[in-house]
Amino acid sequence: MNNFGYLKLSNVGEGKKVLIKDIKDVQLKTFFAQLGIFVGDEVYVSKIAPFGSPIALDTAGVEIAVRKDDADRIEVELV
Amino acid sequence: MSLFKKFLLVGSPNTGKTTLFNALTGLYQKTANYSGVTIEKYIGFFQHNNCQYEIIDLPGIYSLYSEALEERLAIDEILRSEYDGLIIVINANQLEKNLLLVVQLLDLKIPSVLVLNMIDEVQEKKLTIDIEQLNRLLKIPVVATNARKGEGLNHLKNSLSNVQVSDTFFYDLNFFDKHFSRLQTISTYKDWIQFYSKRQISLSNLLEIIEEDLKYKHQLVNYIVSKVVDKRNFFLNSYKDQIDKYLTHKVWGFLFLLLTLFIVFQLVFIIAEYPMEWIEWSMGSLSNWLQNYLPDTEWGNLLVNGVLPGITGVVMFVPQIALLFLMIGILEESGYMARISFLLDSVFSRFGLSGKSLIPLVSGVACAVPSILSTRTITNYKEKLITILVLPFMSCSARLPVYTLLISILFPDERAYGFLSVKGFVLLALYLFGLIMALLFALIFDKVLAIQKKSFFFIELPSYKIPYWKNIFIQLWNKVKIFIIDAGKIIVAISIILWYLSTHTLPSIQKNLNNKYAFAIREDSVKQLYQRELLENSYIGIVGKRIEPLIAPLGYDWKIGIALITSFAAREVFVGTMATLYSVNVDDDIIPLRERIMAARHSETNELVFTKATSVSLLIYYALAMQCISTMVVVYRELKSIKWVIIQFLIMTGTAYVLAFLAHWMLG
Repeated sequence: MNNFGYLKLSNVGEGKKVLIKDIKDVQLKTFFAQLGIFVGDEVYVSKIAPFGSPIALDTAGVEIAVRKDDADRIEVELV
Repeated sequence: MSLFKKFLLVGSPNTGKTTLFNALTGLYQKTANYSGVTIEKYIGFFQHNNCQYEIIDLPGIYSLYSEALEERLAIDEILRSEYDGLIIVINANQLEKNLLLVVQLLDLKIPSVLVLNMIDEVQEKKLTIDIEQLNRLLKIPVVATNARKGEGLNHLKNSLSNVQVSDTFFYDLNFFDKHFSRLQTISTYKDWIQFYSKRQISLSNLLEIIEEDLKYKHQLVNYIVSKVVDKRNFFLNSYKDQIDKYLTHKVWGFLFLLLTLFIVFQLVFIIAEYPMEWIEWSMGSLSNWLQNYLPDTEWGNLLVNGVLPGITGVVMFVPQIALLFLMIGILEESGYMARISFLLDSVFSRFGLSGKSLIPLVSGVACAVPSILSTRTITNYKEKLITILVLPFMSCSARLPVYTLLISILFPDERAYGFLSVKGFVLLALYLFGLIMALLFALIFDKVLAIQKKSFFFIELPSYKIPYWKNIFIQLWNKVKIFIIDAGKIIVAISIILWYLSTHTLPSIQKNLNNKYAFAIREDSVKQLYQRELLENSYIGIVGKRIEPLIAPLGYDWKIGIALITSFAAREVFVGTMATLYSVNVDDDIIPLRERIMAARHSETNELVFTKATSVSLLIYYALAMQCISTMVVVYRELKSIKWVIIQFLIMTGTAYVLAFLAHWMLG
């Protein structure tokens, strides 16, 4: 948890709904934007693979799995 | 008067784009390659209202800014404008996400039609999309389809004569003034995307602009979505497949994966045997028939002993290829393949491989040829390249007869070890050895290859679906066709050359042989001796003798040298060649051959050839060396590069040589 009280996406458990507050890396941020995921969007952590990576996110009917290293740089807030 | 029109089929992965393509064009398809790369371009045709339509099924794209190689190919094709319009396909269930790409495409100002595919799933959920409203907001024709059932296809075909350029702008009109005031050449969105595609300046300078553009579009898309669907309900029950609780579970998930692998194994190893035996039997009968009815001439000989076995060799691969692609088709179509990637990513990514490399690697235990063809499904170029390069290290079934012979030489009195089969242990060790070498080299290639990886990684997990037989069948048909036409002709040609070189010799030697055996060539025992002497003196025989100094450090004599060369037709030919060279008939049993081989001595030193050291060295050599022309042809076909074929050959055979030498030296 950082100063603003946000969690890392990689630390949120399975089955949680979260709001994306910040994406730390501008390249990652652009990449997510290409997939249609933006800061302020609500995503659902639908499942986490056996070794903790990748992490699957459900967003507006699309399920997308990202690696833990990338999820580390995404700050979220529990809904 | 008949017209000709060309359309590009564009859309994100998992929108049913290829299903729509197959539904529109059926078997009226051909394949080509994108210039410079081996990614296949699918081109299909159909006729409607006196017009001949050509449709190109582009690789799926997520965004016009995508960096992945296959997505760039699609985007370049779109930017080239050598066509009459775009058919933009989206998954109606993923309206919000897919529309983000749609508005990017519409900003290019290309005549387009939008297809809301999988509309049936929306209807099943008792939801509606206001299509007329969507049409008014986007300003292009909008058609709803269920490609699987063929619903809406006629409507779509009609709308193709009515495609429109949207006159709405989905970018901030100050966008270009703000960022490119001094760059006169960029004044439209298409200019900008073109500039981005061919950019010279580094990506990081453009990131802010890209994000700003996408964010602006995202807001517009949100507005559009709110106008055409009831947003509170539409995404509320977005699928969360309950079955994934088990299929991606840390215990049940892996058990199910094992079961899947077991089925793949059964298919390519055991089920494929039946059609293969049948092919072998019928080609054998044909060959016998021809032998009896054709006059005994050089041409008849070429047909029966050169051409027919070559064709048989190619056709023999077809059952395995078909069954493997059937299985992969089912896995891809159902959505389970993405779950395999999801389960294995954390392990496989360490070796530079994709979770999708699993099925090709596993089926490599049966045969590298169909497995290399099946790497088509790996979309990332680097992962596909690495998978292909290391795949032939997996011990294939053609190595089995060689292993069996060598193990029985190493352990002639196997039964002494009781119920534990030594052969079984050694075989297991050899399979593991192949697997370890494959992973080791994957790791090395991953570190060494200077190919830019896609900057970020993600897997889309599509909702599970019942596999659509038409997609699987058409894909399977295309693969078999490509294999027979493209790879088959080269394999046949090379096997004819190998046959010629192993059965022909210099005219002077041939004359001597003819004189020597003229008296009784028809008698079987004499014929065997003749064939042996012919092989020993054939062009390959001459080379085999010449390379003896090269292979002597490994413990091999010139007879093994000859067998190493003839093995290029297929590794198992080693056994047949040794049988010919030792004048043994191996039809029923390899024991007599084993006895003869074990008694063989070097002609000069009179030492035994097949010592423990030599046998182990040969086992290692056969486990690792690239000894298969068919594999090399298919690698060339898939990577379209002689360079990689040579690199793979040098690495595999080089490693085999070094390790076989070390083994011989340590045991000798």
